[in-house]
Amino acid sequence: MSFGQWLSLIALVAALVLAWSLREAIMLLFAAVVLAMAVCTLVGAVQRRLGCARPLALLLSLFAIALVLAVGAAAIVPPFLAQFSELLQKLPEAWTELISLLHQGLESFSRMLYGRSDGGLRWLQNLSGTVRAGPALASGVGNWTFRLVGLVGNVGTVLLKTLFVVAVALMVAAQPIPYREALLQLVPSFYRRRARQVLLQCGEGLSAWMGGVLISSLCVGTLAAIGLSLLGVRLVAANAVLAGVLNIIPNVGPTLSTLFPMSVALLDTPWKALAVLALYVVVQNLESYLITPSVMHHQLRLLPGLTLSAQFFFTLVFGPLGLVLALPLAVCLQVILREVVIHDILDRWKAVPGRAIQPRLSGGGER
Amino acid sequence: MSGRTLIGALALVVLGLLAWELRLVLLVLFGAVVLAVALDVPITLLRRLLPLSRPAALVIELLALAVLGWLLTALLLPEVLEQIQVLSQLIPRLPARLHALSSHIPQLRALELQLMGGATWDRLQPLGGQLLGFAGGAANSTVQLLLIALLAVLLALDPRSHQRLLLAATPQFYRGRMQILLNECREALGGWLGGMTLSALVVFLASWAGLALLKVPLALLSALVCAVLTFVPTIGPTAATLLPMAVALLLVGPAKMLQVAMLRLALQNAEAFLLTPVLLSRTVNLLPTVALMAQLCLGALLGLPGLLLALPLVVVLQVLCQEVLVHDVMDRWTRGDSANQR
Repeated sequence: MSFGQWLSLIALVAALVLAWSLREAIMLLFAAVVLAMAVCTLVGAVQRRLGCARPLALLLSLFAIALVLAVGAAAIVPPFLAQFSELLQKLPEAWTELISLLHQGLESFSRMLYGRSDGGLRWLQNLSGTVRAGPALASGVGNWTFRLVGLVGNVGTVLLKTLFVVAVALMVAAQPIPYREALLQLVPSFYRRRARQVLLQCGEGLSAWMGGVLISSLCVGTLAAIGLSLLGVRLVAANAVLAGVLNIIPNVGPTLSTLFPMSVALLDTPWKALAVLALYVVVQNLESYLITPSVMHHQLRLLPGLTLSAQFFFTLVFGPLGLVLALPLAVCLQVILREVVIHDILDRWKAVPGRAIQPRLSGGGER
Repeated sequence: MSGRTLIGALALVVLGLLAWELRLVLLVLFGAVVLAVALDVPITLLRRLLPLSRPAALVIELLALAVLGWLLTALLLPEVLEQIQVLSQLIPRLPARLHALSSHIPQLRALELQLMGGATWDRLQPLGGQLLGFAGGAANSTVQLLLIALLAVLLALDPRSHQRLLLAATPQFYRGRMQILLNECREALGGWLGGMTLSALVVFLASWAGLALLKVPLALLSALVCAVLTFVPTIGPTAATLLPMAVALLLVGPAKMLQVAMLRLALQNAEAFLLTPVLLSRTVNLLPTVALMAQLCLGALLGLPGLLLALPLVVVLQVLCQEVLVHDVMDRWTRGDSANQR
């Protein structure tokens, strides 16, 4: 190896170490790029529909987004906040309800088993009693002042990060071409044309994914709202919005969104909680087997196992933000893997005649 | 692989690790270079106008700076002293004032009670230690600032020989290129500093006029702080707004504070989105997100000094990236003969 090669090897290692230590900033940047991509998609659609210049289209779409957000906030937020605070107040009640239900169930079970009320399952009831004491103890002991200060600090950090992401997204959305060209400058000259193709495909994949997710989230929210109002569960708006928003995060989100309506329904009547659970399972299955396959571009469909492992991996590496951004990251990585690694490197590797790799990984065809 | 390349690679790794360990020292050095360039720009102008030697021009410039500083101090000091007296009378009344303000809002009251409950002597004890640490840090940074100033004067006194030293430390085949690179970095830094100085001047005048019109006390000092902090984009102006806002809140009232906040917000946005891009578009071509990203990354890597020096660093880094990475490496990287790429 010559000195120049050593130099490039060391530079590569240093760049990788630097990227690893800056992974949070890179994640924020990626979030901003995803947001900018969403705005750009909207701008492109407006431009094509109205046939106006890009600045005007950008202004129009930003205005439209602001309008939708403002109307949504005005229509949803006040009842949502009221319902949500009610929900938070009711959660402990729901918990005690659940515990007492458990007690009753255990009692009837032991009566069935032993014929008397104070059967041999008393120890299990005691156990559930200590479980009930646990959270109350934890919330009582905590030092409220310090917790409050920590919470304020956390909220401030999150707010700052959100502001950063939004600002960068707006700046990128205002002029996306210079950023793409600047990025392409950092690629070796023989590969620039191909890298531009790959970047464009990543962008297309991201915008297609976002369109699909938007539609499926709307469907899930509407279905949940209809089902909940048919079942007569209260706090319909809050739960429907929650279900729609959490639908963006596959696997984890829908599970989380089931908890709140179930606890609300538990307060009314226990069977309703089961009905809500059944409703959400049905909605989820509808979403994942009917809505998403028909809405998503077929190349974007990720295998369920791949989705779950991507979520696990990105959460491990990047923290909570990685969990939220796992799907867009997976979409981009899929395009890069398919185009760069498989198509440009592995397919051209003459010594290994392994051509069978390509159709397996190139899409979700065998679903 | 010969032993020579191995030794070279090892030396490179050791150098890199050493540079990482000494990053704060390097940052101080970079601050000195930035300050030296700031001194060098007027010297060059002066020497173009008058037939002066470099040391004479430097002495004239330093004298002018000293006179300017003295004038400003003479203007500011009486008012500042007076206001400090007022403030020192006011500060004991501050908790009562905040209490009166917060009692209007019931939610804040519970928070305040909790905070007051937490502020017992045991909790305050670590504060003393923190204060000591803070004093030590302040002394440390004063020494560092003095060092930076001294280094900058030395660098500005004789930039040629320092440049020659740097040139001698590059391989023979790259020296011509290095000369061009150094000149371009100097140009970019000078352009950035010039543009920012102009924009800081405009901010200073506008803030002074606005605050004086609003009849806020300490208008000149606040405007000066705002102008200095303009050199740290996005974070600096926001931090600078705190001083006039606090003064307005304490000495006048909440309504005045709102007016001050609106004035500063308007000025800040006009500076960031209209003035600076126009002034810098000729010399430094920075994409707007690059500045933000650089502040985030350098702040995470190097702490507060990195945050303060992020913009000059990124100006230099951009020139280096453009010339070395893009122009010398990536543009010439054609398909290797061994690899059978497309």
